Amino acid sequence: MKNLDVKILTKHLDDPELHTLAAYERHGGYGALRKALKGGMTPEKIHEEVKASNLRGRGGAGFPTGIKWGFLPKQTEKPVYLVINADEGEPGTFKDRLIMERNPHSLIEGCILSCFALKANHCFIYIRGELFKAIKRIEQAIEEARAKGYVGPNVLGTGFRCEIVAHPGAGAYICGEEMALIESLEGKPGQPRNKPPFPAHVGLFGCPTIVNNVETIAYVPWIVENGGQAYSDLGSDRNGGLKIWGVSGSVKRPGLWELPMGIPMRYLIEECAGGMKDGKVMKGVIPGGSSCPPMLAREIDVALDIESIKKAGSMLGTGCVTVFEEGICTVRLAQRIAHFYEHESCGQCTPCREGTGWLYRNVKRLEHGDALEGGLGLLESICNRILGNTICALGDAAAMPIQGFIQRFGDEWAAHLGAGRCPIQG
Amino acid sequence: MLTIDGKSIPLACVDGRHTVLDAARAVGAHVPAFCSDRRVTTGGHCRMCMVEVDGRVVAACATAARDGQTVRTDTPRLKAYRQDLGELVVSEAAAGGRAGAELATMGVTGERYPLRRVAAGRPRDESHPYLRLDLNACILCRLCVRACDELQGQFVYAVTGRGASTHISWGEGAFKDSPCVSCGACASICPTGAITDRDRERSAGLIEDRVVQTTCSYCGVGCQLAVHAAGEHILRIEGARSPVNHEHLCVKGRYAHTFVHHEDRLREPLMRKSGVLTPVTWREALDRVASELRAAAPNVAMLSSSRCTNEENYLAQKWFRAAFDTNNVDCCARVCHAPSAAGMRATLGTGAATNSLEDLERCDVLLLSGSNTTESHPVTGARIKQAVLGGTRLIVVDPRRTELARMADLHLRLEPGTNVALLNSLAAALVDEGLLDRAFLETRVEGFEAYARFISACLPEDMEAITGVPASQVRRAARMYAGAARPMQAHGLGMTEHFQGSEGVMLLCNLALLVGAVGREGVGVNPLRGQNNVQGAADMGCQPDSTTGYQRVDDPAVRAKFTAAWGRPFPEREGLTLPQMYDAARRGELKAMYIFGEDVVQTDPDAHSVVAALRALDFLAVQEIFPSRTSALAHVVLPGASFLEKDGTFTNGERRIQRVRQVLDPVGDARPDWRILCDLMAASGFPQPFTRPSEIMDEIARVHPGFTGVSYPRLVRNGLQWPVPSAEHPGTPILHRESFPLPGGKARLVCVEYRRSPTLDARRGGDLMLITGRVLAHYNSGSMTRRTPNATLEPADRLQMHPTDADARGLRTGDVVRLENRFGEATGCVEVTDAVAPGTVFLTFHHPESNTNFVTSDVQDRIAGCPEYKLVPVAVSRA
Ligand SMILES: Cc1cc2nc3c(=O)[nH]c(=O)nc-3n(C[C@H](O)[C@H](O)[C@H](O)COP(=O)(O)O)c2cc1C
Ligand code: SF4
Ligand code: SF4
Ligand code: FES
Repeated sequence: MKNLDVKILTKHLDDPELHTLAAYERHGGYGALRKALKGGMTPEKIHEEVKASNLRGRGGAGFPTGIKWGFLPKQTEKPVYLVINADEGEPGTFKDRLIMERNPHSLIEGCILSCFALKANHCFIYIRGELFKAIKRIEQAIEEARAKGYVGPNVLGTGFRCEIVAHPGAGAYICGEEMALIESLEGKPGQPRNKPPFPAHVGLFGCPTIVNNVETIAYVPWIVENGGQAYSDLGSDRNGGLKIWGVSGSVKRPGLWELPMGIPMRYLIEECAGGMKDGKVMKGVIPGGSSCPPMLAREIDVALDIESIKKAGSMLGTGCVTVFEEGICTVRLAQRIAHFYEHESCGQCTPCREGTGWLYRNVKRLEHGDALEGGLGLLESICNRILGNTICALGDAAAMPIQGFIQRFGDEWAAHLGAGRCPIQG
Repeated sequence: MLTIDGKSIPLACVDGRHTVLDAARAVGAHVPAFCSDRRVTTGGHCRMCMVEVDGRVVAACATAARDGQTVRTDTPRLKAYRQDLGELVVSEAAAGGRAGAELATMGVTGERYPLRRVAAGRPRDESHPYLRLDLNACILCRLCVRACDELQGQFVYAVTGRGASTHISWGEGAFKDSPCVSCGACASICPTGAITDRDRERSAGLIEDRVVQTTCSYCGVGCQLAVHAAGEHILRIEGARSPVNHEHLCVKGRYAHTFVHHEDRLREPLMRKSGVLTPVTWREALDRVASELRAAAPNVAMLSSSRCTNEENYLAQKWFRAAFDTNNVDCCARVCHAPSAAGMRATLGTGAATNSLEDLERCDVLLLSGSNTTESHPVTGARIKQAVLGGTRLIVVDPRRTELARMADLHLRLEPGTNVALLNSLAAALVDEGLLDRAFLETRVEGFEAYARFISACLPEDMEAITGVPASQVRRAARMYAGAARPMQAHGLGMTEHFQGSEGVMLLCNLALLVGAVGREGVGVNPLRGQNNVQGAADMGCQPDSTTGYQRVDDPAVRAKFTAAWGRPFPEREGLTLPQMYDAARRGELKAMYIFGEDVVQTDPDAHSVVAALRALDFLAVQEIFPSRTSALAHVVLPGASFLEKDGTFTNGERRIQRVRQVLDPVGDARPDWRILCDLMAASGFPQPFTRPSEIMDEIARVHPGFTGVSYPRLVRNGLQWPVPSAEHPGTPILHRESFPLPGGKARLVCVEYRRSPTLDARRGGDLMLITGRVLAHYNSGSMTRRTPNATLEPADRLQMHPTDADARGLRTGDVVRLENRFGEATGCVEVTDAVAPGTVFLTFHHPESNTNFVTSDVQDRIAGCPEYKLVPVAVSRA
């Protein structure tokens, strides 16, 4: 394991004033911006560095950022928009919040650089409505940056215009889905659109739009300053750089750590989070937010990169791991998750709207030990109705964990059938 | 090439506009699709239409068909998916309609997922006269929402809630209190019967035996109807695919058809015997009419009907001109758009819309004058709304704050009766600021020099005091209109029904000429013709100065041509206009009149004097479908057929000649009007050879130069827009592309000075200015719409009054009031609203008991003789 001591976004977290412009600059902040704009870097050059960095989207899907940026039309008469997805709503996930509350200028600097690279003049940061402090800190950071001439009609006197707007969200998980987020930004109900067209072609207000996660963009300044290759080298194969990892659940020290891509999950749980608390025994983990299929305790030696974890039968997701101990009923756990998706489905497509309801009601019934006429097959068939058949990935996100639980904890689930009560927790 | 289930589709069909679903349908592959409809945008909600495209599962309705795709619609996996999704659907909704039928065919039982969430208990609503809602059947396909938003632009429905609690809503309270305008688009599109209507409910159980496409007989938009019928029953009416209405309809066209079988219909000929109208045989009635008219000729007059077909109008004028040696022929265009025809003929050379309805989607600025389009021409109004929602800029000239005025970029809210002053000031601003198309003026327009000198005295700053519109607003409007790449105009009766009606229309033409906005796509001057066939009645020659094809009666060559064509000498003297007919009758000079399909007593202004004129006649014959105030004065009443009971053609406001097709047999002993006219002509010693309307059209094509290429076989699909100079000619959507039919081929700028209407000088009538007009639910005299459930929607004539005026009189919405002036007395039911300005009131004229036209004035357009319905002083007090 290499680069365990390198830190980027969390390097100066011990400075309680880091969220101010003065402190950020004291630690070298906005150096990348100066380097790029004053040092004659072209937008294309920045794009190249981002491609070389192997930076993968930190919003959950892990799409290579450089490639995504390349989807913008080469020629367009319409304005191009950058939209930052700061809606962080995935259960178990709390990393973007840290960045926005403690190191907001890293995001702002990243936004300006990314706008420059994308030839965009407007950036919207869509922040989850409940994150009051983050909203305040981002708004303050934008104001400070504007006062300093980093944001506004004439960035650093170069004639480049960059406006950044913080937009508090309206309180729905679905608004984190990029198309729903765009609809919501437009002032409409947050409901995903059919794709294609993808946002890079028809996004915000019908214009070409790039949607990126907070963490994704916050790494851009370091990449610009140190080069894409340097960033890529920090991580593992095809998974460039560092990432902010989270652990929650029945561990000694829940929290967030900035570590390279590709570190083993066991290291994160045992070394960073201190292992299981109160002598509990690990039963399993949900690797990257509630949409990811669970994994068994014995599977945690997997490397935390997108491909490895996929091979192991789950998803890296947001990189925030939830640990649960022996004695927890996975049906009850799944019921909570199913309830979440039933409640958060936007309701526009039939398989998700009806399917999430059926999943929730049947999992709940199972947890109470009722027999399901179709057995577990009924649940699986509903999952199959949803998977791949919906407008957005929320449907998949609801179905995958249920499938995963049945796959890994099938005996436990089968034991519930007709048991009259939960055989694990009563 | 694209293959679907092994069948290939040639590349030609894959043009980027079609979806995989369209392609699948093209090869006959059956893919269930609940939430897609060609009328509205893609939803992709139901997920029933999932297919495999190159191995990936996608929604066929939301995926563009592309070259090289391999599509499978019928794999076992897809079939199982659909079946099971169907089970999920019925576990939540008791779907009927086409979706329900499809699910039943699929063998969906509703037993697979037995935990029914809410089988019942979702909202139902039956408060509306037409629409019925029962959300227990709703599958949330959202077609209703899209139809309401995208076809009508009314935004009645919303999707409320999230996830499982998602439901369709229409705001608080009963549906009848929603902003719904009863266009019926939602009921027509809903695949489950969750939203349905009175017609569907009434006709449940009847087996449809035909669908007949015909033309709506209400306003001049000319929507194409698909009439679904079973025997003598109309099951329902849908909008047909047509460039005119794109399958959309309004509350009148879709729903107001039950008048056809109303008990009040005239079912047999009537003759006055000992003062009482008594049933007689057709023979007796026809002979009486013919002999009375023959005895009185040439002091006889024909008032033909813009409600009836081209063929009938042609016969009516032919009959009087050839058999009774008189040009005393007029029609109800006189009281609506005659000024448009006169004004446009004087400036552009042709008295008809220069462009087409489709241009509404092509223009970037629309100048709309004197038209409450969303109520008077609802389908065109909806189209304008969509254009404005899509970014077209809108300038509205209207004293009332209409629905479109509220949506407009600029609303020039002028004092009633000051159109000429305002339009002059708009033109003056164009000239003053040099916002002109110089090249166009140079090559295609006559008289700019003189006009520029004249108009310099009409600057917005000079006219402000007259019009009440701030000069700055007028200048902004001028810049917006001139700045557009495609500035288009449309106007309504608020322009024409004035003392200076024809002149106002000329000024609209001036504006278009100054900026070169004639003769190409997306521009022009376009009167929104009021009645279904007001264009056609004029085209056919129902006016005293010209016969078929606007060929002037004072032209000896024309007379010679028609003398030869008809085999009778053609009368020389120009005839009387409708107001002149009344005058002549009152003076005892006109002896007999034939009134065809019109209730002049209710609809013509200053009704008392109309009655006096009709009473003074020796003989009055009326051909009608309902008894009316006019037929009550007649000596003979002949029962005609409604548009659903006969064949023919109507010509809409964009000059489109469209087929009217018989759906039902005429009620009782009533007869198609063209047949009655033929019989009368025979009885008058002028027999006609016609056995069907198409033969009449063939004769019209021989005498009307603009109709040379018109024949029924060519009208089958979308009709033809005249002129159609030859049998191969495709018709003319846009007039004046190269030149104007005026001497020298150039259009003329006309100098018109503003004159105060004499009505205003006679202020003694009262302290409020009355404008009269229509509402959505009714059509003109209401003889048809009042005999349908539309009457429930709008039970009485409305008097709109500003809150200040209402307060001053202690009036509130719902109060019944009396209107009085020197012409007479009328009543109305108050609606307090800021849609009218203080000092102005607006009254509709759909209900005979209100007597609206007892208070309209005797002032007429100076040129075309159209009454000034839009301006008269009245006093209003509690009844
Ligand atoms: C239901 C749903 C919720 C999502 N929520 C978030 C979120 O809260 N934050 C986020 O960054 N991405 C979220 N995403 C992913 C976004 O759609 C999108 O992929 C992401 O913002 C792209 O940014 P990235 O490429 O930088 O990761 C969500 C996706 C789905 C389907
Ligand atoms: S999958 Fe669910 S959340 Fe996504 S669009 Fe469909 S109903 Fe909405
Ligand atoms: S009411 Fe009908 S059209 Fe509207 S969402 Fe429900 S099923 Fe679809
Ligand atoms: S018809 Fe395609 S998703 Fe409904």
